[in-house]
Amino acid sequence: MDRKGFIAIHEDDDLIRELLERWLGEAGYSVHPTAGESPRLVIADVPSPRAAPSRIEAMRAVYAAPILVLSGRFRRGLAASAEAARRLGVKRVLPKPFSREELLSAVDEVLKATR
Amino acid sequence: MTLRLTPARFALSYIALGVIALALLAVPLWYGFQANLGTFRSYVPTAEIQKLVDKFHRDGPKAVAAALDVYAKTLPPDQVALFVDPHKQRLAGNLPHWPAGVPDEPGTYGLVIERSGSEPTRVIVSHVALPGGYVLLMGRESVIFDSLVARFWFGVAGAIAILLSLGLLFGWLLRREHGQLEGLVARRTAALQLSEERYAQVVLASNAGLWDYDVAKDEYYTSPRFLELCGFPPERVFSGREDFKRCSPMHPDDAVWYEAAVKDLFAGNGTRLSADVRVIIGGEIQWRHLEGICLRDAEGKVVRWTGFHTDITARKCAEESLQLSEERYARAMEGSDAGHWDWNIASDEMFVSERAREMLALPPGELPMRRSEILELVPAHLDDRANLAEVVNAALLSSTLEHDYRVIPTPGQVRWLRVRAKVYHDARGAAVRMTGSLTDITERKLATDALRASEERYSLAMDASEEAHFDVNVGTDVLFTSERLNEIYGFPPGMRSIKRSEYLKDFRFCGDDGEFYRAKIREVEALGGPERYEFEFRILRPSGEVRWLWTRAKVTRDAEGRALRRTGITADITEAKLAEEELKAMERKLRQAQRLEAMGTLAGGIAHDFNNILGAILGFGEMAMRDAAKGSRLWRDLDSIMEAGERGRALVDRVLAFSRSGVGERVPVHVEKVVREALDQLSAKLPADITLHAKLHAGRAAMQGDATQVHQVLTNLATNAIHSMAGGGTLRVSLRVERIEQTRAPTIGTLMPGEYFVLQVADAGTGISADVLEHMFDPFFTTKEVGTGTGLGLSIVHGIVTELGGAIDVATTLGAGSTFTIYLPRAGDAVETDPDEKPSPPRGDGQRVLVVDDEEPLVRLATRTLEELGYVPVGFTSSSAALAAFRADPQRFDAVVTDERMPGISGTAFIREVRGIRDSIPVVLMSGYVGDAVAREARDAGAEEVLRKPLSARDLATSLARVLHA
Repeated sequence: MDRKGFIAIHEDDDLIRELLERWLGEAGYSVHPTAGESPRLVIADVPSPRAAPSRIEAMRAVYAAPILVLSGRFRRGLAASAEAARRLGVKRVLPKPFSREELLSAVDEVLKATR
Repeated sequence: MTLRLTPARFALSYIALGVIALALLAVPLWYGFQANLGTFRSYVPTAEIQKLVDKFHRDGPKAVAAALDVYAKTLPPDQVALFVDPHKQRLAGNLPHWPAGVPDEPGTYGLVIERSGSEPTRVIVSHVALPGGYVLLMGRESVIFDSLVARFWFGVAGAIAILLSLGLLFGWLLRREHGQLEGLVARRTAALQLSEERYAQVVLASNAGLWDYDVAKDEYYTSPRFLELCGFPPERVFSGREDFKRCSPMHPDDAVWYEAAVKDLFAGNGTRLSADVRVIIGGEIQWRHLEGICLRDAEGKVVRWTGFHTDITARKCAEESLQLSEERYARAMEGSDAGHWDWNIASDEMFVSERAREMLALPPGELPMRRSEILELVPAHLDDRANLAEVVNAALLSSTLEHDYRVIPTPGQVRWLRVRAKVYHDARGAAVRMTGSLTDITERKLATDALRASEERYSLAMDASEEAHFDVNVGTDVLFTSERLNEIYGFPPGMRSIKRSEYLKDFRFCGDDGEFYRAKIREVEALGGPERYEFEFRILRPSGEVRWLWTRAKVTRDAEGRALRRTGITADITEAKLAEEELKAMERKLRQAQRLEAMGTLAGGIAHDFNNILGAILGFGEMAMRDAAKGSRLWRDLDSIMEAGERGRALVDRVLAFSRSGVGERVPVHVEKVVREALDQLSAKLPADITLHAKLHAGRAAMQGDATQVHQVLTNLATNAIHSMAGGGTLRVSLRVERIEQTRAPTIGTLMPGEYFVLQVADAGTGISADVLEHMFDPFFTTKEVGTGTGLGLSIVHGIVTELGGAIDVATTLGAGSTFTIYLPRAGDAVETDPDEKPSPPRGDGQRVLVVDDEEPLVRLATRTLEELGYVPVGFTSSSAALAAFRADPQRFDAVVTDERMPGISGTAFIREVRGIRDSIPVVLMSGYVGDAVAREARDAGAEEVLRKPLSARDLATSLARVLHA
């Protein structure tokens, strides 16, 4: 159950959170922390670009792990995403909606890069 | 030129002529003499003669005879030589005997010698006497003897001719001089006669009586008029002056001082006497004016006393009456309030009346003063002082003067004086006298000034007001206007009262406003029309400027309601109108900007929630599909849900493009390069009837932003342009860098001074109507047919340009086309290649890519990624279905992307099949486990690229681009 480590999820939308938990769980990540476990990755939803920097700051204060930002406000497109990520100072940005494959690919990419 | 003759000149000219004549004579005489002498000498052999003479003295006659014989033999026949003894007997020589006719005296002679057997010849010979009576005769035959004689006579004749001609010249000159002298005398005589006649006429005309008293002879000549003037009969003759004095009609009182004056004059005190005296003629006193002059001899003694007298009675009377009238006038002046002055310009004496002196604060008195003195003393107001002299000088030319000026008689008191004067001129037109009156008009002036000030205030107020005033008399059609109306209409100043029809003759209205204006005026002036009216109209000034005018007036009517007068104001409201229009435009712009911003915010807000919703639909749908049996009805329904979800996602993505995300990282973008790429892609899809003209001159200039944004802006604008040209045309795209110097506001946004990219997309299409113009940037606003466009193109352009801090200008003409000008701020230059930066993944250009994977989500992911990269993916979850599709139309696809592990036909097998159908098709293989063996097998099968799963979009883009361009 705990093969791939713990991923912290910050998502306000219940449906999306459930989806995230299910897909990540199926992929072998744990989404509920056991005592004292620090996450390998933080997935955080950013409701608006304006709120993004403060939200990310808050995450960074709590977690040392890399952050994968989700948002329904980002434009799709590789360049746009990469630039947005760089600007926000996070590993990766994943525009919503995303498929399971996209999510896992993104998580994989971030974890691989921090390994 | 006439030569005036004086005795000295006369003498000189005679001497000169004599000298010239002598000189002229001397030349031929001297020449002839020389010539004759020379000729004679040359005919005589002088040297031979001398030799023979010497021989005679030395050796005697025999030797000479011998020598001469020898000599004679050598002589040519024309020469003569003869030696004779005292008896003239021949001793030697070539003559037979002494020739007859030779004189006995020695000398040189010309003679004729007769020789036997030949013609007589003319010879010139020298007869030389030798001692003892021997004679030597030697000479030569002369052929020019006659000409010598002729020449002599010719010389004589020449001299005579010269003398004759000189005589004639002298004669002519003398005649001429004489004639001149005679003419002179005649003229002088005539002049004298004329002068005498004139004098006589003058004397006659002057009506003067003459007298001439010869003191020595005591003769007293009097002219007839003199006698008449003195009351004597015309035949009266006086024996002398005493005789005349006895019966002189002079008034006894005057006679006493007159005689004394004459005596004094005779005594040597002066030469002239001039006096007015009274005479008693027929018991009546008359006035005579006398002018006398005495002529003196060398010792100063008076020899003549001559003069004339005239009747001046009438003048004297006039003078007296004038004096009387002047006295009366002066008294009248004293009584009146006006001052009076009289200026004798010639003598510069100025009489100034008491009252005038009082007004001018001059010292009292009656003596005339000099004008300069008066000007000095008059306490004229400083402002008027200089002017005063000028005005008077001007009056001297114009002959009348009326001028008001101020004086300050006592400090603090200013009085206004009005001077009125008249100038008198003599016959030649020179001003000789100027008389005038002076009145104190202070009170009147103050009243007038007050009135004028009030008028001025009113006029100033009218001028100051921006409105022009007018007053039209409807009946007479006379228009009175304030100056401002001319100004407003752009007419030259000065037209203030004029026929209205005249005034409006050159008037030009803008557009149809002339008709409107005339209709309005007709309506207003009609019977029973309104009492007040007000309207706006536009005019064209002569300069071509369009002005908005506003007029408001009151109409005065008679009892029947006929319009009599229109009085009102007209104002230029152009600025206000422009401001109003500008304000409206600004408001419109603001509204649009606000609307777009609100929509952007709205779209952003919606996107967040909407994407969450779509995320759930697509996510759970994906899971449900996984569990459903492939190909079952449930699976197909779920697939439709997913399809719809995908469409929703694409839509929200586009909405996000115009809502400002604000998180896009900005990098320097090589704008020209991006535009060039976009145009390359565009030209491939261009309809056949549309040509593309591109002028890109931005060089390496860069912009801070995202290359995709520039790409999108150009693509959207170009797509619209192409759509607008349904009938074909030219699409013009230009890019340049321009410096904006002044802040200005184009259609969208604001341009601050700085450097900008100017991207222009111009079409020759239908143009944009005003109502479309206002809404065209709104999201989902579209003029295209349903299904053709999304209505987001210009919204996206707007969103991007605004986000980049740029501006948009739209220029459009209905039926002629539109030009969109995009301004994007420039930020330095693009770096050619940045080694630190990963280049953005290569993009596709609408190529069709066949994607095969048995896993649905992977197909979806791959197709989505390819779509984003600019490809047109066609996804299959079954390799057999894919193969069937490929086989059906092998040319439909440009590339193949396939998974390795698939049920049924594996990836490698699939590649082989595809290659079998179309050998050149590029193929990319994807595999979860890419070992060396798999890779080798795949390459053997024909795959150019092998990609490892999970798929990275960048890897896919790079690989696909590589195989496509291989």
